[in-house]
Amino acid sequence: MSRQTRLVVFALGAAGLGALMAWAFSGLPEFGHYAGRYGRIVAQLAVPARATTNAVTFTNFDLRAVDTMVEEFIVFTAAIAAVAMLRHQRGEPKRAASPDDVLKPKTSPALLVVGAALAGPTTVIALNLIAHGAITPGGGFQGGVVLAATLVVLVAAGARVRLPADKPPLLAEITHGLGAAGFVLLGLAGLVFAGAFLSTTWAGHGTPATLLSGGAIPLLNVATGLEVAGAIAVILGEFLEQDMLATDETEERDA
Amino acid sequence: MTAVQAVLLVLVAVAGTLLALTREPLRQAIVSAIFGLTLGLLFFALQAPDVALSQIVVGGVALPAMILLALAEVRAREHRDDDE
Repeated sequence: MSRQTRLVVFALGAAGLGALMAWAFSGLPEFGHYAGRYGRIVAQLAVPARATTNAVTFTNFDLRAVDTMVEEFIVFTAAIAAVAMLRHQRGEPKRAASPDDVLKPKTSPALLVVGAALAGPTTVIALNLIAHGAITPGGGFQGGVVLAATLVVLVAAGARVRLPADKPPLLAEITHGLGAAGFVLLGLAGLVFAGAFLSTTWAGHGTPATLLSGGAIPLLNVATGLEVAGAIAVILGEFLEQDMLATDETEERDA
Repeated sequence: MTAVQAVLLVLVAVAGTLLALTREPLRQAIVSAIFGLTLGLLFFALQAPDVALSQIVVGGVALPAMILLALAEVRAREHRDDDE
């Protein structure tokens, strides 16, 4: 098929698709006019039923709790998979373990200052997001990723990460596992105390818009935060442990 | 639709096109962070702060960091192969 024929076919297809899209979009409801009934019911239930002023968190951790748990385990499994793949390959380049195995990225003073200045505030923001998940936008997932991002900031700012040759970043792995186990245990607590897996009512409702409101939802947020932060830290740790060291080594040899 | 939303929609379209046209992986990591940030701002303007937070931290920080680390991994491996 010549270039010209292909262009003609593309032009016809694009015109047809464009016409269909215009037709479809013209039939959509007005922007911002939600027509479904489910959303309204959820928004009206959030405060009277569970004392959560953030309806999104109420939906995630109460109404579709098992879905959320499965999503937790997607992150959990992704971290395990990254560990399994990267550790399998680590055997290949043999490297003697010595106390000098310290990650030393070459960092500019500007990056160091910005990184050092950002590390504290991002940690506070992360904990704030996790703690207030039931009240304001945010929650365990968002806070957990911000917490892990603090780690990225620290490493980018040239924090020295001591890397034992064959030991995993243990703290990250414990956090990762504790978060995942905690979520399931809280689910079982719902089964024991309230008669349904992942029911959040057993912990009491609390006053809406205070720190301890929404039953077990704040606890689930903490578990999620630990799990997500741990999972991302494990993945980052695996990458850093294996490869940045190797980069340093080869660069020194080249120099 | 407000003016802010309209402007952000255009920004997302521009950033997305730029990202698709970027060919060098290292630049892709940086441009994807910018794209993720504009998308996060759009979600915020559309009154979805929960989604916006996830988008900003995942699309703006976590994903570019992973791409950078993967690039470091590939380069380190190429170095090793050259040495042997």
